[in-house]
Amino acid sequence: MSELTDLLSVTAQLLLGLALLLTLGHLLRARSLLERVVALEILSASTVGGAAILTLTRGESATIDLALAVALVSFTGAIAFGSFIERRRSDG
Amino acid sequence: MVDLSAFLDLVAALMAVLGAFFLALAALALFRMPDIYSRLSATSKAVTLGASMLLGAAAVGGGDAGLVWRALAGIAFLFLTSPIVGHVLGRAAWRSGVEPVVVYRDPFPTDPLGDAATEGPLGPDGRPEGVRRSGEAG
Repeated sequence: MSELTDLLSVTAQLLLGLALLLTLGHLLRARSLLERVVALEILSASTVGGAAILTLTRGESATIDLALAVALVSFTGAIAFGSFIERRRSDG
Repeated sequence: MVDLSAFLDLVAALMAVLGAFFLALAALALFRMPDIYSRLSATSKAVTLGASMLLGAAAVGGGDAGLVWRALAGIAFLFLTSPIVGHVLGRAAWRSGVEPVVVYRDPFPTDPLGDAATEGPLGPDGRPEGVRRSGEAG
């Protein structure tokens, strides 16, 4: 990799870290459960992106399987949380 | 003779920066948006684009055929599931009674230098409660 490519991938990782920190801040200051679920969605998407960047910079093809697994789990979790919040409201 | 591998590395790094930028934008939208509906609307699109661009960067820069197919499968999965997640969460918010917050900006403010934006739940006339047109009896 050339120097420019290195600089660009470091920039991408810094931006991703910024996204993770902002999302974590919103996760801590959120009042309701739904706000936290939205923040968790962004957190898991950032994890998918981080695994993809790891694949790009280190040349390991195993971490992209990690990205796929995290995407699958976050989708299932979001659907479960949504139906749980709906059902909790209609029961009470 | 252009070195194809170095060029692909450069393209992949640019895509990675763009994708991480969109993810950071989605995280920023969590702070800038007033209620959960606008947060969902802003973040679901930015998150899909950002994560897909990062997976595409891995596909372009990786150079392995299996890697490319797995990254494409991940992109397709994200594009299929992200609208479903946005719909389910928005429906859960609506059915559990979360009121949308509307930011109303008076187009003809009586005090042009003051802060004319008002936030609040919708009133019966389609404008937020507490906002009255100038000259209207309060």
